[in-house]
Formats: sequence, C-alpha cells, structure tokens
Amino acid sequence: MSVAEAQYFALLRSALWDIPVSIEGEVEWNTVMKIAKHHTTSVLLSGVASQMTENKRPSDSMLDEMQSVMRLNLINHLKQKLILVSAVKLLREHDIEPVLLKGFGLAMLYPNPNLRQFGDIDLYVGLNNFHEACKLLRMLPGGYNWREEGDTGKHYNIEFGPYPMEIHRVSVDLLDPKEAAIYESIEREGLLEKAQRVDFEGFELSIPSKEFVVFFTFFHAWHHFLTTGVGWRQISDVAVTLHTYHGQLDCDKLYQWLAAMHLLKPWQAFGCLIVDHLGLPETEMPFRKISNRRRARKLYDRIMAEGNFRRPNHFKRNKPQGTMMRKLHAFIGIFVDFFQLADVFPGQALREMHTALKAGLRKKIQKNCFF
Amino acid sequence: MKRRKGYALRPLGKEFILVAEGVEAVDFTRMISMNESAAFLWKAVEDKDFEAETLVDLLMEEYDITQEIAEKDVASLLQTWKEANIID
Repeated sequence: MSVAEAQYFALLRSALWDIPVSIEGEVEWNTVMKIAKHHTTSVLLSGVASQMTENKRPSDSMLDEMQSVMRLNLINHLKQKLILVSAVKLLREHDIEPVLLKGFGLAMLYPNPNLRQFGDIDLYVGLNNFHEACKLLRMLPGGYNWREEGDTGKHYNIEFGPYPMEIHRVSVDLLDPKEAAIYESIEREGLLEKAQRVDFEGFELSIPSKEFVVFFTFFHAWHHFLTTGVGWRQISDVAVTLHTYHGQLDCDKLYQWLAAMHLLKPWQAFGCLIVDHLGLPETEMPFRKISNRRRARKLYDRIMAEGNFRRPNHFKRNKPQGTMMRKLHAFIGIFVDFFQLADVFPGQALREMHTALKAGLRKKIQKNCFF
Repeated sequence: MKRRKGYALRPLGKEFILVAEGVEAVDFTRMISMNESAAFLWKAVEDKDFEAETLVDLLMEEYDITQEIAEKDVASLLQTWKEANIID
C-alpha cells in the first residue's frame, strides 16, 4: 500500500467513525483526493480535511474548493429531500407505501449525513403498484422522463431537473430465473413484510428490514464490482450499516440469504477489507474468515485500480460494425469478464459464466449490441 | 432576544450552515454560514430568552477570552443575526 493510500484510509476512517485522524508526515493531498474522487468519497474526506491541524491541512485554495463542494452537496441533499418527501406524500395519498432504497437511507447512518454523496433517489413500490406509482410521480412538479427507454425492467426513471428518481418494481434484475426466484423471496421478506419505519429529518419513511439493508447494500456493492467497478463509497456503506445495526441483526437470516445467493465468499473477502482498511471492529463483521486474506488482497488491487463506475469497458467502447460481428464481440466480452472475475473469485466467475451462457446469453448479447 | 424558529444548523467542514427549513420546504435564499463559536452560541440559546451579556458570558467561559474581546465579538455577531433576521 502506498503512503497516499494509507493516508486516504486514515482520513476515510475518521469520516466514517467520527474519530480523530492521525497521520505522520506530510499529507499527499493531491494524490489522496484523486483516490477519493475515484471512489466517490471526496466530500467525506473534505469534511475531515477542514478540521485537521493547520500543519496537516491542504492549501487554502484546496480547502476553499472543498468547502464549496460540501456546500453544493448540502444543497443537493436538501433539494432531493424535498423531492423525496413530496413523492412519498403523493404515493401515500393513493395508498401506496414506498420503501426507500440505498442513497438517502444510507446517508442517514453516517456521522454527518450531509457529507455522503449520492446520485439519485430509489423508491421501491413493488410490481402491483408500479404503473400507478410511475403515473403519479410523473405528475409531480418538475418531473419528466426524457428517455424513451425510461423503463429498464427493474425501474422507471423520472428526472426532477438534475435529480433522477428510480421507481423500482423489483430491487434487482437477475438473469438466472432460479436465482431470481430465490431473490424474490428474500425481497418479499426484507422489503415488504418486515420493512421498518424510521424518522428521516422529521419525516417518517419506510426502509427495508435491518438484515435486508445490510444484505442489499452488500449485494449492490457486489453488483458494482461485477459490472462497472466498485468504489470505497459502496464498501463504506456496508461498513456503516453493519456498525449501526450491530447487536440488532438476525445473523442467521443474513447468513441464510448470503448463502442462498452464493455470496458468502465475496462477503468474507470484502469483510477482510472492511475490517483491515475501513476499521470496522472485527466483532461487528459477521462471518469474516481470515483465510480469505489472499483473495482480499487481489480484490483490493482491483478496487484501487478501478474505482466507482470507472471500470474501462473496451468492449462497449469499441463495437465493430455489423450484427454478427457485434454478437461475436459481445460473446468474447463474456469470456473476458469471466477471466477477470476468475482471478479473484473463481467460483463466482463460473457461476456468472454459466448464467450468462445458459439463461442470459441472448439478453446479454442484445444488450451489448444495441444499448 | 430570542432565536427564530424553523432553522436547522448543519455542520459542514470548517463551518456550520443555518438553513431555514421545514419537512416540506427549504428557503434556499436564507442559508447562513456560521463559524464554530457563532454556532456554539446559537445552540446554547435554543428556546431561551437571551441578552448580549448572556452571549458574552458564554463566550468567555467556553473560549477563555477577555471580556473586551467577547463584547466586541458578540456585538458584531448580534448585528449579523439581526440583519439576517434570524432573531427577534
């Protein structure tokens, strides 16, 4: 680990757990903030940077820039909160109780929610309420859908100025029908039957059960890792949910869900990173296995090399002409994905390959060819 | 004097931002930046009637400064708060 990486994690731990930061020597601010940006954690680190002793702080100009970014993040937070509250109120007037996923709900678990960046609002309404909810929310002031393909199968996109909202009929869209059926039962229990009501800055909101929040936050991070690249922001989310719900989780249930979705090995490897780099106490990280350290080191290298949404996708970028060539190109892409994943998680790579070839080959090729 | 209701104080790095906000409305034209000591005084007089002397005493106690400096700082702060219309 480089000096700048070690400094990055010291600052990130300080932001996650609201603890004083201790860094020896000069802080390599330019490199540290570059890492932070790649992992969507620059606002979190800015909050810490401005409170450090004078000899450790960044230059005044960098501090001013950080302060502006934090102010902008706060304004975005407040604007999105208003959209969220009006959306939930409107849906409730029509007897639809939406469940808030990711973003806002997770931000509230951070020591300073104003410093956790997020892009959109995710509301789960379920299959039965989906069309009615989309129709209603399109009528909210400022709401419009500017894309023909607004309905992705998983969710429907509505834009409120620069703030997107995703209305989910399902929380995850899976290719393998067997896996989808298992996930559906987890979703039914964690999102519908055991959703909890929480206070959100004076407004009562529904969020999933505690176990589902942890499970889904990890599943989301894992999905990022499989597709576009995961950042320390998503991994921090997992750490913060585990810390918040420590002692309140039904760990048997969580284990059962992770095992059913074949996620135990990834969980254990990510767990090593969460404890070693993000500083979550070992006692708060269930099912962690030290024997996964070697795998975790490879995972660490991949995460640092890629970052959030930053995996280079040469296959999508360099599509050849002609349908057959595109199909072949997409087919090769599946094998490239396999070898990349197999280096860290061989079992999962085989499973993904099997799923892609058996259940989702047609869909995946179509997707890579036409979107 | 008394603090006006309907404001939330949000910590943000080296400053605190006072925002006129309710659950369903935020006045983005009324966001006031406060430093650490101003935020300390704002929090200390929540739901209380106060005078300039109250703030001076609080400031001297918390920051170990002379009365002269505290009075000067409080006078300037109260002027800012009155202009921002956040106290009655």
